[in-house]
Amino acid sequence: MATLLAFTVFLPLIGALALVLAPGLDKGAARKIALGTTLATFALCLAFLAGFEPDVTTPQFAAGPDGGPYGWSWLVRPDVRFALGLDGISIWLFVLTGLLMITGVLASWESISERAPLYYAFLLALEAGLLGLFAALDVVLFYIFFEFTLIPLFFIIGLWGGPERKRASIYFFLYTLAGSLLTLLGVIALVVVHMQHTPEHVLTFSIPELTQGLSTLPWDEWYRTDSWTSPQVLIFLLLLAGFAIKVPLFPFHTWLPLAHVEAPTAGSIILAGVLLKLGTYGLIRFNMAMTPLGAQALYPLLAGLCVVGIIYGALAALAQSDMKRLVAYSSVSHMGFIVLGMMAMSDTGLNGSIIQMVNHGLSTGALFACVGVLYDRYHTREMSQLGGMWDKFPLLTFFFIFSAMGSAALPGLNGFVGEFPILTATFAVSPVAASIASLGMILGAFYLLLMIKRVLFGPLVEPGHDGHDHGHGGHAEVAPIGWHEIAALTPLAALILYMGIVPEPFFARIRPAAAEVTQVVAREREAAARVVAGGPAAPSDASVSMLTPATR
Amino acid sequence: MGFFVSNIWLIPFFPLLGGLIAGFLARRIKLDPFIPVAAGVGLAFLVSLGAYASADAEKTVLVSKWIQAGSLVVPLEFRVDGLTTLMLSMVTFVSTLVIVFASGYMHGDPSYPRFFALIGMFVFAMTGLVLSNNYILTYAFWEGVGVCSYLLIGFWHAKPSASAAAMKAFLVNRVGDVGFAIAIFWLWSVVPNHDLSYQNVLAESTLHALPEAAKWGIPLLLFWAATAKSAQVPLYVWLPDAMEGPTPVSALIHAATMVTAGVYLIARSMPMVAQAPEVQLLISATGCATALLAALIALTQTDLKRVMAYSTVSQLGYMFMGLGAGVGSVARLAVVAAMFHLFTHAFFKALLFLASGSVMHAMGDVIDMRRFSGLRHRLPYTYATFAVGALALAGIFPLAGFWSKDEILLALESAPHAAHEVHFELGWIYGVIYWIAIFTAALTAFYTFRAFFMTFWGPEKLPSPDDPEAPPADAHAHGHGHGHDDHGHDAHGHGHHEIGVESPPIMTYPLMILAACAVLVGLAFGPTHMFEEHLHHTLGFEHLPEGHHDFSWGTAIISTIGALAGIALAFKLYAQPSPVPGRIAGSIKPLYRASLNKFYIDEIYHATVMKLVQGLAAASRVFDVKVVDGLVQGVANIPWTAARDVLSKYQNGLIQFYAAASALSVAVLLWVLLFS
Repeated sequence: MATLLAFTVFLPLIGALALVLAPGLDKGAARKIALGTTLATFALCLAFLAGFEPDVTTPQFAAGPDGGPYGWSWLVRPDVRFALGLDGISIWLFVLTGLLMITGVLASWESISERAPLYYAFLLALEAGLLGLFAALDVVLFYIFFEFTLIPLFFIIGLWGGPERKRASIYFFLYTLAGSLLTLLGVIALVVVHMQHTPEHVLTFSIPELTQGLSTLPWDEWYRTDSWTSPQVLIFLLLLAGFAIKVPLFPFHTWLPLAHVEAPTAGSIILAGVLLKLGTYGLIRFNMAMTPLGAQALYPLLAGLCVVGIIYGALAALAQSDMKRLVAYSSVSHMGFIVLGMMAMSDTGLNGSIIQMVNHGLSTGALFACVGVLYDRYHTREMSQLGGMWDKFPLLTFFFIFSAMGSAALPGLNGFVGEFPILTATFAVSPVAASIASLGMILGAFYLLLMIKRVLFGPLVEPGHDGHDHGHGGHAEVAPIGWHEIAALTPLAALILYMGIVPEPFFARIRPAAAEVTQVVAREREAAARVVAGGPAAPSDASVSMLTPATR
Repeated sequence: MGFFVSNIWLIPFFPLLGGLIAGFLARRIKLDPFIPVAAGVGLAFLVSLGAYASADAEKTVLVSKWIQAGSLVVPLEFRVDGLTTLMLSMVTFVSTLVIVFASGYMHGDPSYPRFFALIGMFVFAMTGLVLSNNYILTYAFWEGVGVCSYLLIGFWHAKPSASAAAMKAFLVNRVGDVGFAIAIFWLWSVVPNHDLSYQNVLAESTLHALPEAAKWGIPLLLFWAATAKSAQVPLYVWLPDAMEGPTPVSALIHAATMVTAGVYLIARSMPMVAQAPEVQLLISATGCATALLAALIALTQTDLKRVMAYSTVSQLGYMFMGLGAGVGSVARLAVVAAMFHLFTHAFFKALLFLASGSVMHAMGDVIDMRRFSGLRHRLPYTYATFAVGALALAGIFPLAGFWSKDEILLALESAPHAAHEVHFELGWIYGVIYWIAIFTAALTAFYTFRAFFMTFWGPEKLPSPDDPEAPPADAHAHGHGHGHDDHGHDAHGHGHHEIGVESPPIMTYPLMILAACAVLVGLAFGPTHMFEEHLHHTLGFEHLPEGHHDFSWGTAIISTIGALAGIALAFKLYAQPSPVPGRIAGSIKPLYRASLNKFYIDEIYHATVMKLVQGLAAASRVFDVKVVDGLVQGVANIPWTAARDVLSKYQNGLIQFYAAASALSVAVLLWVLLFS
C-alpha cells in the first residue's frame, strides 16, 4: 500500500505532465484528461479510506516498520525521508482533496477556454501538492509540499483570474510565503530542540517521532511557559505565523477576499475547500501536538483572535455586495470556529475541529460552485444585479439553499456536527468565548439568508442587457444548469446531508487520532506541573501518565 | 414494550417518507402529492394513539447513535412519556386535518408538491422534537421545525414581503436558538458524565448538585429560547409577519404546533425550572406582558389573519403565565394548566385559522376585513365553525377554552399563597398578573368577536377592486400563486374560481371536525382529570409538589363575565355598521394609532438592533480595507522603503564588500549556533 500511496500522490502530476507535453490538445480533450485523472485519483483515495483501520493510531499505509522510521531514505545525512502515511486526522482531508478536485474540474468545464491544457495541468499539480502534504510524515517533505502548493495556485489566479488577478496573486503569494518562512524557522527549532535534548541526540525529521520525543523531553525548561521567550511559547508563535495566515486567522485574512474574488471558480473551491485547511492541519500537527503548553499559555490571545474573527468576519460578510467576497469573509468566520475548537485541547473540541475542516470544505466548496454557476451565465456576482433566480434555476436554488443551511450549521446537515462540539468544548474552557462565538451563529444565518433572499427570492432581476453579448432576447435564453454542474454539486450536497445524519463513520476514525493528541497534551501538562513543583520533568513511571485523560 | 412503543420511530418516519415521496417522486408516478403526506401523517397519528396508552415516565427507546465527538455523545433516543404522547397525538391529529384542508386550499398552485413535501418535513421535525430524549436532539429538531417554517413562510418566494418575513422568522428564531445552545453547553459542562438525556439532567440528584449560578442561569437561557420559538416579548415580532405563508401553514405551524415548542420545552424542564422561583416569576410576567400587548394590538387590526396571529401570541403568553405560576405547591397544577391550554388552543386556533383561510379562499385572497362583511349566508359552514372557534377562544362554558383558561387563572390565583409558603417574597406579583389575565380574557373575547361580526354580520359585501382599501395592484394580477403572476399565468393559482362561494367539502369537513373538538376536548379532558392523570406519567412530574386546588367558582364567574362583556361590546359595536367605533378611535387617537401600528415595536427594532448590526457590518467592511489591509500593506512596504533608502547604499557593486559581508554573516551565525 505504501507504494500505492506514493503513486496516488504523483498520479495527478502524471496527468499534468501529459497535459503539458501532449501537443495540440483542445479544451475538450484537456478537460477529459483532467476529469479522468481526478476520478482515478479519487478512486485511489477511496481505496485508502476503505482500507483505513479506525482504531490504529500510528500512520497507516506507510513504508517501513510500524513505529518508524517510516518511508524511504531520501537524503542520508541528515536523515530526511520520503515518508508518506495517513492517520485519522489526515485521511479525511486527503479524501476531501480528491473529491473537491473533481468538483473543481467540473466547475471549470465550460468556463475555462483559454490555454485549457495548462490550466488543468496547474490544477492537477495543485492536487498532487495537497495530497502529498496531507500524507507527509516528514517535516521537510511537509514543508516542500506546503510551499509547492503556492505555485500552481499563483498561476491559476494570476492567469485565469478576474481583472485584478495580478495584484491578487502576488499579494496572496507573498503574504503566505512571508508567514511560512517563520513557520520554517519554527519547524527547524523543533528539530533542533529535539536533537539537543533527547538523551541520544537524535536528529530526526519524522513527524511521529518528533511528536513522541518532544512530549517526553527530559528538559525542564521545555515545560515552563512563564515568559514570551519560553521555548514552547516562542516556537508556538513561530509556527503560528505561517499557519495563521493560511487559515486565515484575524487579522491576517486580508489576502483571502481578494484572492477569492479574482480566482476562477475552481480556484476558489480549492482555495476555500482545501488550502485553508493547510493552516488548521498544520496547527493541529505542529502547534497542538508538539507545543501544547505554548498553546495553553497563549489560549487567551488565540481564543480572542478566533472570537473576534468569528464576529468580525461575519459582520464583514454581511456588508458585502459581491457574493464571492461574502463567502470569503464567511470563511474567515468559520475558520475561526475551527481554531477555537482545537484550542480547547479536549477530545470534544478536537473532534469537532477536525470534522469541521471537512464540513467547511464541502459547504463552502458547494457555495462557490453555486456562485460560479450564476457568474458563468451573467458575468456578475453583484447581488444587486441578480434576483429571483428561483424560478429560473430551481435545481440551483435547491443546492444553494442546501449548502447555505449546511454552512449555517443547521442540525441534520454537516456543519452542526462540527460546530456544536466545538462550542461545547469551548464553553467548558471559556464560557465567555463560547457565548460570544455563539453570536456568530446568528450573524452566520444572517448573511447567508440575506444572500439567498437577494439572489433567489423576490421578482426576477437580471443584469442590464449589454447589447452585443445577448443581442435580441436579453438573458431570456441563459443556459439551464448543465450536467457537469449537477455532477459537481450533487456529491457535495449528498455528503453535506450524509455527514449531518450519519457522522459516526467519520468520528470513528477521528476519535482515536484526536485522543492521541489530547494524551500528548495531558502528558506535558503533568510534566509541567512536576516542573513547577520543583521536581524533574520525566515521570517516574512513564506508562502511568500515558493513560491519564486531559485535566481540563 | 408494546409494538407502538418499540416502533415509536415510525411517528416521525412516516411523515418524512410522505414528504420525500411528495417532493421527489409523486409527479413522476402521477400521484397527487397530497396523498403520501396525508397518509404518512395519518399513520403517524394512529401510531401515536397506540403509544398513548403505553406512556410511562421512564420509557425510552434507543433508535441509533448520532454524534460521538469525544465526550459529546448524542444518541438518537426517543422518550414515550405522558407529555410526549399528548403532544404527539395533538400534533399528528391537527396536522392530518390541516393537510386535508390544504389539499383543497392549495389546489392549482404551481408549487403544490413542494408545499406538501415541506409539510411532511415539518411534521417529521415537530414529532421528532417532542419525542427526543435529550436536549441536543431536541435542539436539532427545534432548528429543524424552524427551517421548515422559514421555507413555508417564504413559500411564495417571488413575493418580496414573503421572503422578508421568512428571513425575519429565521433570524429571530436563531436569536433564541443561541440561548438554547448556550444552555446546552452549560448543562454539558455541569451534569454528571456529560450525559444530556432528560432522565440524567432532570434527575433530582443532578438538579440538587447544579452550581448555584446554573440553577437559575440555565432555566433562564431555556426561557430565552422559548421566547423566540413561542413568540413572547421581546422576540414575538416574527410571528405576525409569518402570516405571509399560506394559511394552512399559519394554522398548523404558527398557531397549533411549532410555536408551542417553547412552552413544551419549559414544561419538559419543569423540574429544573421549579427550582428557580425568580425565573418562574419572570416567565409569568413575560407571558403576562405578551398576552396583554398582543391583545391590545389585536383590537385594531383589520387583517383577519393578523388578528388571529396576535391572538396566538397572546394565548401563548397565557400558557407562559400559567407555567410561571408554578411556585411551591402550585408547580404541578401550573404545568398541567399550561399544557392543557396548549392542547385545547391547538384545536380551536387551528380551526379559526382554517376558517379564516376558507374566508380568504372565498374572497379571492382578500383578507382585509374592511373589504367584506355579512358573509354568513354565503359561507354557512365557515360561519358556523368560526363561531364555535371564537366561542372557545373567548372561553365560554362549556367549550374547550373555558376549561384550560380557567385552570391557568386558578394557578395564578393560588400562586401568591404558595409563594408565601416557600418564602418567595415577590409572590404578590402573581396577584397583579392574575387580574391582568382576567382583563386580557375580556379583551380576547372582544377582538375575536369584533373579527367575527365584521366578517360574517352586517350587510353582505364582497371585495371589489374599487374598494378604497384595495392595494393598487390587487385583484386580477394576484392569483393564488402570488408572484408567479409576472409570468402572466393567470390560470395558475386559484384566482379562477368564483368569488363568494363556500369552500368545497374537502375544506369544510376538517373545519367541522375541528369545531367538534373545540367543543368537546375541554369537557372530555378537563373536569374528568384525564389530561392531568395522563400528564402525571411524565419524567420528573411525580416529584413536583402538588397542593390541593379546588375548582374556583369565583374565578370561573369573573372570567366568564369578562368574556361575555367583551362579546357584548363587540356585538354592540360591530354587529351592524356603526359610527361608534370610529368615534371612539377618534377620541383616543394616540392610543388607537399606537395599537394600529403595533406600538411601533418593529420600527424600534429597526432603528436600534438592525441599525446597530448594519452599522457594525458597514464599519467592519471599511475597517477591513482601510485599517487591517492598510497595515499589512504598510508592513509590506517596509522592506521596499528600507531597501530604497538604506540598503541601496550597500549595493555598491564592490566584490570585496560583498565578500566581507558574507564572511561576517557566517561568523555571526556560527557564533550564535555554537555559543547560545
